[in-house]
Formats: sequence, C-alpha cells, structure tokens
Amino acid sequence: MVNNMEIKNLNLGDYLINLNIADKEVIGVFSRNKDIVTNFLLVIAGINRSKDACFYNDEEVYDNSNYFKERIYFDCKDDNVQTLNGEKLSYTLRVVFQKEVNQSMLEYHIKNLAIRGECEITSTLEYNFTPVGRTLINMALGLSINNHLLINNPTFNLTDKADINYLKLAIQNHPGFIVLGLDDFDNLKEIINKMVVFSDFQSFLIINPLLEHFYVIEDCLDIKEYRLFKAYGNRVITIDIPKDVLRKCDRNKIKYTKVSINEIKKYLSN
Amino acid sequence: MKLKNIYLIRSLGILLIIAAAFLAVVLNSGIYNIIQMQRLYLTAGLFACALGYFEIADIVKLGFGITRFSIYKRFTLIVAAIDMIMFLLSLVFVIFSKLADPGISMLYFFDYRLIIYFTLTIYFLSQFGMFFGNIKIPEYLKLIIIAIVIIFIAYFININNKFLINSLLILFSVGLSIVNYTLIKNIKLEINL
Repeated sequence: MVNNMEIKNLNLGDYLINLNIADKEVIGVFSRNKDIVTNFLLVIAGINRSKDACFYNDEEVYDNSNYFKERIYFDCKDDNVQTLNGEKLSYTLRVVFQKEVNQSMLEYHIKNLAIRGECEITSTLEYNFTPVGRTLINMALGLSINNHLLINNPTFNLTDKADINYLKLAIQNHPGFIVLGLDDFDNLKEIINKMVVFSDFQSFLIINPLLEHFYVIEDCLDIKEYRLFKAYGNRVITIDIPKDVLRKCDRNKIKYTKVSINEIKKYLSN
Repeated sequence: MKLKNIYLIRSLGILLIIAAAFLAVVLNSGIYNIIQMQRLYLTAGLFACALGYFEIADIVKLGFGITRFSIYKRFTLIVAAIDMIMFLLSLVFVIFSKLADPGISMLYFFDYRLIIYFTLTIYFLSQFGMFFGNIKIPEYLKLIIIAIVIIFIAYFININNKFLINSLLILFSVGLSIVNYTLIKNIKLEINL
C-alpha cells in the first residue's frame, strides 16, 4: 500500500492549502510568520483539528491512532531528549510511546554528529544540551525511528556545514515522507522535493527550489499572483514570471532582476 | 540501572507508602469503623487530583504518537485502579477489625454509603484535577479553588444525608467526565514561540 497524504481545501488563517505528499518525499515548509508553519505542522500531524481537510490513506488524520503509529512530530527547539544513552532512549520510547528506535542507528548518529561534545553532564547526572546539541539529538532520534517525520526547525542554531550536510544525507536515506518546518530558507534546499511557501501576501505556493527562477521586482499589479516575499524598498521577490508579463513590465519601465535561490535571503526585508 | 528496575523500585515505594499509611490508620484508630479510612481516601483523592492536573494533552505526548483518546482512557483506568486498591484496603481493614474484635457487627461496621462516598470522592477529585489542568485560568486561582473543594469534601463526611452528597458527587463526576473528555478531545494546543 502506498502511504500518502492528501490535504484538500485546508483553511489556515488567510491561506487556502491543497497539497499531496507521497511516500519518500521531502517537503519543506517556509514562511516568515513562524506561527503559520507550526500551525500547519500541528494540523497535518493530526494534533490540531483540520475540519476534514487532511487525510492519510484516505482517513482523517485528527487523533487517528493508525496515523499516529506511523508518524512522529517534534520541534527541535524543544528539550525532548534528556540523555545520550541509546539503550535508555529506545527503551523509554518503546514503553511510553510504543515507538521502535533503531538503537544502533541512533548511536551511530550520536557518534558521527559528535553530540557528546554538545552536552554537559551535571553532578546529578542530568544532561544539559547546548542549543546546537538540542537540535542534533532531536534530529538523531527522529532519524532513528522508522516513521514519517514532521519536524519543526530541523536546523535551528546549526551553523556548521558538516552537521547540515550529514543531516541532509540522513534525511534523504530515511524511509517514509518527511515534512520540515524550515527555520532557514537555504539550509536544506538541495534535498527538498517540494517547497511549500506561505507568502507575505496571503497566498500559498508550491515550488521546486532547485528548478524555480526568482525575480526581485518593483511591486505592481501585473505581478500580483507571483509574489512571494517583501524585499527592501518597494520591491518584492517573486517566482518565475511569464515572458509576456515581463515585457509589460519593460514597457512600464518597472525594474527587475533575476536571482537564484541562494541570493533570496539577502533581499528579504525584515 | 535498567529502566524497568527503576519503575519496579518506584512501584514498590508507592506500595510501601500505602501500606505504612494503612498500618498507621489501623494501629492508631482504636475504633472499629470504616470512617477511620477517610484520611487515607482523601490522600488518595489528592494524588488522583494531582495526576489529573498533569495528565493533559501536550505536544510531546501527541507528537510521539499518543492520541488524545488514549490519554483520557489511560487516566480513567488509573483512577479506577486507585479506587479498586482503596476498596481492597477497606476490605483488609474490615478483616483486621473483625479479627481484633469478633463481636462487632459487620453490617454496621462496613457502611456501604461511606464506601460509595469515599470511592466517588477519589473519582470526583481526579476529574476535578484534570479539569483544572486543562482550563486556562491563573495558576494561583486553580490552587485556591482546589483547596476549597477539598476542604468541603472533607467536611461533607459529617453530614448525615449521605444519599444527597453521593448523588451530588455522582452528578458532578459525570458532568466533569463529559466536560474533560470534550476538552481533551477538542482543545487546540498553543504554540510557544
């Protein structure tokens, strides 16, 4: 049976969302309003009510025990893990949440990401993770569970490229679909099949980050449906604009620049 | 130390505490009446209340695969188990008392209205705790209201019309159960950004 998710006419704030998520797909969710991303993830995780709009294998996901058995949701900002002991972690998850952790894989991730160096063990044997360590241990745990993953802020506080590259590889090798609430537009773009964007203009867009072209353009009525984010000045960042619209902009002497995905971040206004 | 050993030690600890409290009640009562169990029942009720207060649907539990329904079901089963243990303790108390004084009348001694009242107290307090765990009012207000309710519950033991008290407790317990189930099933989880 193919495990996939279908989101039909989901109303979230001012956004109307339609999306299909297939098995093994990696979906990135980005908005400059972090509330929307978290809300979206909580709804598709079946934690908050979706009003008959989200389905997993044709079943409504809200509080659905079958779906809950096959997916996990967590936010890397949270202290979900308080130990580095793989045996203890896998035992706790098995007893409390009935989740099977691949213990050897967890220990492998802990070792390769050098999480021990991001953690202080107090005299009372409590594990205090650094902000980087917290994200890494959360990701290591998630990637060691054979479930669909819905992860918010997967690279929160991460600056080391080696860590991010390691996570990219692990995410690509993970079975099941993965939905990532991106804390950074750039970090994981190479491995994302679909980028779900909640624009600054109340529109919901699905783009392929590696194939899509972007423009930085002075805001005007003609490009209304292509707008993604507000840029500095009276400019906006848009997805690919058809040539006839661009010609119209030329006639009206509206200035624009074609930019790559790597350059978007520097144009974003605060 | 293995986790299952930790759980075993904790469970043994709880059993020891119950046994010690029970022995303290039996040894110090001197009066063969089930009413002597009141404080032990109230302590169990307080425990159930605290359990209910913390047994709420949170993002970690739901995120790692526990459904809202199973949170409520698990909580109800735990409270039922507490009630059952307390009932068994009451039976042990009766047996001890009968052994100590074979002449006492069992029917007089084993007052079923009191047993129902005690059992309902635990269930009511557990649902009450859960209700206050889920609603959003200032913490200090919750604690004050819970304290007032516990004082009232303790005071009700002196009222002779146990039928009225038991009926009220049943009414409130069932009402709170429905409210709690609806709350836990529908509450929208907040995001702490």
